[in-house]
Amino acid sequence: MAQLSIPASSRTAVGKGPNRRLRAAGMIPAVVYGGAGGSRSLTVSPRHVTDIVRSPRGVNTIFSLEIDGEESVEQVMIHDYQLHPLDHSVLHADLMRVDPEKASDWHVPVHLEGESVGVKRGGHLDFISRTLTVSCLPHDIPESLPLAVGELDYGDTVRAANIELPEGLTLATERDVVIVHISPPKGTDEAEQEDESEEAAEEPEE
Amino acid sequence: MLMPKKTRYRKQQRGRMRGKSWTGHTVAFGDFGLKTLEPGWITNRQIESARVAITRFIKRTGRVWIRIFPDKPLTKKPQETRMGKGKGGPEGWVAVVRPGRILFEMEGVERDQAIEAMRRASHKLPVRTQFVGRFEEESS
Repeated sequence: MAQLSIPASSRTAVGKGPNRRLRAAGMIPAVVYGGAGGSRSLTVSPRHVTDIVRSPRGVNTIFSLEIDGEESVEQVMIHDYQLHPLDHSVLHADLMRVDPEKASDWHVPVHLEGESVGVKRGGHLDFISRTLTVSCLPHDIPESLPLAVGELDYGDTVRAANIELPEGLTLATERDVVIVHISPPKGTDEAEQEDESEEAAEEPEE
Repeated sequence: MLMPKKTRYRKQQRGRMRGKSWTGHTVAFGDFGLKTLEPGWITNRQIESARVAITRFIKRTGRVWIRIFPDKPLTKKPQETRMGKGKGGPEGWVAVVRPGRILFEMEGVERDQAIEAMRRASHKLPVRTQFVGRFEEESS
């Protein structure tokens, strides 16, 4: 797999004012830390951060930095990012150096496959935990963890322990964390029916 | 309707709504959300009305989350009362929202259905709103 590399430049001006000027110029402040190198302030393009977050691997993408034109051998990942509340533009990114030889905990998205029997019968699939924490080497992180839900019917629950993990991965969350639950259709419960009839009585249709 | 079970004080000062909502501005539970673009007070009646609009439209499918809670007491002076003689009595409850706050979230419905449900809910609210998806899944 070809290693992704994003351009960055080192940054000496820190604080609110310089960072605002940086954002006005179309770049964002970032910081890289972890490992032996200590922390270093950087400037990166928000476009690169957004593209990585929205890529199939998301924040689990491993890439390298080209700081001031020099290709770095260090591999980094996006550890955190801040978004603007209104337009969701990226405001800041935390990059963390990863040690390819050291296993750590990672959040991997769970990908549901198929349509469950319960949903076909009118039930609802509650996707409770969208990510699962697994422990593995950085280069072993899978893009997603597939979970076949086709067989699930009303009341069925899939817990973290039920997910088959690829070789080299161990579960780092509690085993009984619920991933998916199939609820019966609303209105089959008496209490809910009463609730709905009260609603209708309170607010007659226009 | 939503309201606190108990409060330490019956009345509160009105406060200001400066700045943006730096928490609760991303879709966290469902697939789609309704975001406010303006600051404002949303009463528990408006929240309930918007919730009913959503649930009636999506019928028995999908799931809805309400991401705001009306925990601020609203006071009002009785009509034709002269000024003074103290603050009015509690009349209701409001949620204070700042721009960016996600008000409702949904999952288990198609995007088009979610857009229409949120559009109907937005008509019950006193603030301008925008339909949003998850940041990671939005197209760049």
